[in-house]
Amino acid sequence: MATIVACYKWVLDEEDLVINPDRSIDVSHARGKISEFDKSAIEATMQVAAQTGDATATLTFGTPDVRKSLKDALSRGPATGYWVGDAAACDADALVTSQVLASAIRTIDGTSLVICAEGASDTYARQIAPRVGALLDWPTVTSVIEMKVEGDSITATRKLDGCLETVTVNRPCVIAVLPAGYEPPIPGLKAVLSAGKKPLHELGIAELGCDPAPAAKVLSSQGFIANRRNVIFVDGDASDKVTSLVSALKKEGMLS
Amino acid sequence: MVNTAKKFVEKEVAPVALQVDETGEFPGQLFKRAGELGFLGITMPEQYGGLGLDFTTAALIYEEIAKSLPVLTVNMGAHAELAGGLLNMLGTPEQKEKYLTKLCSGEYIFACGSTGPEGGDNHVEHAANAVLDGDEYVINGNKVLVSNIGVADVYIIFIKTSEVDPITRDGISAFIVDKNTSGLTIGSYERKLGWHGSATGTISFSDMRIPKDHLLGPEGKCMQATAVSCTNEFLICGPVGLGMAEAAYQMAFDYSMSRIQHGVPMYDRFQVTKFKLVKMRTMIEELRAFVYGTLADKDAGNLELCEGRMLKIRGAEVAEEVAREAIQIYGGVGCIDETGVERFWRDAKVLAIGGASIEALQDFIGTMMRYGKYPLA
Ligand SMILES: Cc1cc2nc3c(=O)[nH]c(=O)nc-3n(C[C@H](O)[C@H](O)[C@H](O)COP(=O)(O)OP(=O)(O)OC[C@H]3O[C@@H](n4cnc5c(N)ncnc54)[C@H](O)[C@@H]3O)c2cc1C
Repeated sequence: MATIVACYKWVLDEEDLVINPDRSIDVSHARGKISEFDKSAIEATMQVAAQTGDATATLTFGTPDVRKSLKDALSRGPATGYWVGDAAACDADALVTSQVLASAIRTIDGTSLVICAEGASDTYARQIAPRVGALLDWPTVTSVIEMKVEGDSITATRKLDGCLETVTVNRPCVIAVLPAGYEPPIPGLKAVLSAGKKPLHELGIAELGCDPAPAAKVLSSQGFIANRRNVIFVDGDASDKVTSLVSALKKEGMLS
Repeated sequence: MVNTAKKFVEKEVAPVALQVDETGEFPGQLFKRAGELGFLGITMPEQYGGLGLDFTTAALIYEEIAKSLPVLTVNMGAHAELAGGLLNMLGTPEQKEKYLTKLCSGEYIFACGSTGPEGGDNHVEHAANAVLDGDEYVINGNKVLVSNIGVADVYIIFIKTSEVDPITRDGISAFIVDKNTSGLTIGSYERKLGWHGSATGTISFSDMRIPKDHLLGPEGKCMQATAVSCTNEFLICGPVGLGMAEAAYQMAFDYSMSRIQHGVPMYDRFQVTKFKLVKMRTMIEELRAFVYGTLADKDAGNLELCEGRMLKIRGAEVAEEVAREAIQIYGGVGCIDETGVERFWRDAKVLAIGGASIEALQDFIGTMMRYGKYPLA
């Protein structure tokens, strides 16, 4: 039986991040969570599997802490969880991450489709799906909001700037989905309970033959503070104020 | 588990909570979702579609929901704890197979009618009665203030089958009544102070014939089991009161920090506001310790019946006091429906009566104490 693998990243919950006055970011109270976009990748996996009857699995690479994510991931439906937990994930760039994921995918029997999110909610670099596709030498289709699967053929709708594009691609392939098409449902209590009983497979970076040294290094991260303009439109009646606001927004390029 | 409840509340309950309070319509879609998510059979046996989990888990979920829409916990409690508790405790395997599985999934909605026009706790004088005629019971009379009416597919009702013993309350039987039973009339919904959306009203029985196998438990002897299953419902009122108090407190705290009085947040300007919030918070933390301590006893099989009742009493009292003070902190705007804080006080007031009045519960505890049945540990 073919297997569909959903890749996901365990990120810090952005709601828990505190930006200090010097713009350094305090992550000391931040909890981990599955990137919101990746929840859509898992949901897309379940929707495709419902059409094809294929087996489903999740795959993640993160620090050893990523183990905490497995129950949540599997409560969303997939049958098996694969994970690579290594401190090297802390500094991993897209090159390392995609190498680890591609190597892990090669070990999962019968993988015919890999579904990622377009980007992760922390870096949104949009590199993982194309890189994994390239490393596996499989075609990659990005920005997908809908998929119809017939046998090995997938017809995917891509949401591009201002238009929808329909493409077909044969499996094996890598698909990157946008959240729009795959709103993740809330897992029910039964699914949460059964997730704890699903099979898990831990894989090691060394065993996968990957070099964890990143090519790109993060030098610093600074919080971004949006400055308010504090422009208040006081002249005239309500309709004058709205007109002034609209024309100011147009001038800023916020409205066309 | 709690995350599931939190997400459900954030995404599905909170956006419609004020609307449910305003329209008073039974939140059918949310109830259905509660079934899909597994909230209607948390403590029920897995064999019948439940999750077989402990009461602490159930409480955590009720607490989350009560923070946003207390009446949904009432809909769920009447269905899962009152009706479901009785079915689970008294039902035959066939009755459980037929009804409990659908109760856990939410496919059927259940209501439970115990209160008569003569009083919630006054079973001795209840007039509604059942007479055995061949293989059927013929039931006449009515039950008032029953929640989930109209929307319910099945009613569990308490009916006198012989004179009621004032001490043991033997003489009352429980019956399972399908909604389409001839002779059953569903009244209209009462307009109420709180619990808008609980679909509460009168159901009447006129020569309603119920097959003998719809008797739930032994004839005339359902009240002992009821004392236990009601305890489960009373227990749940603890976390429900806690959730309501937490929500009202949080709203009041946030408001006191954002409302500017004489150039500074009201919280910093008025010591009395700060002290009120400290007192509210203290009551909440006391209640939390009481709720989860008592539920740990329940889960360990060490619960005293009195403690379940105390939890309902304290849950209602704390929720009412905290919500009342929250309105006071808001001032005038707190009295406006749209603000969304006064509904917690209205709902808390009803929590002190609906299901059993605080005084009737105190009466029970007092009697147990009087006869040495609840000594200090
Ligand atoms: C919104 C709502 C929903 C409800 N849903 C349901 C439901 O689903 N099913 C159901 O069966 N019932 C339901 N009830 C009814 C509820 O259980 C009763 O209202 C409650 O038990 C009180 O009974 P009563 O209203 O007949 O008041 P009474 O019995 O007349 O009591 C009036 C007051 O007398 C005092 N009192 C009564 N008994 C005692 C006692 N033993 N010791 C000391 N003081 C006492 C109390 O102060 C009490 O408030 C609901 C009620 C409300 C308001």
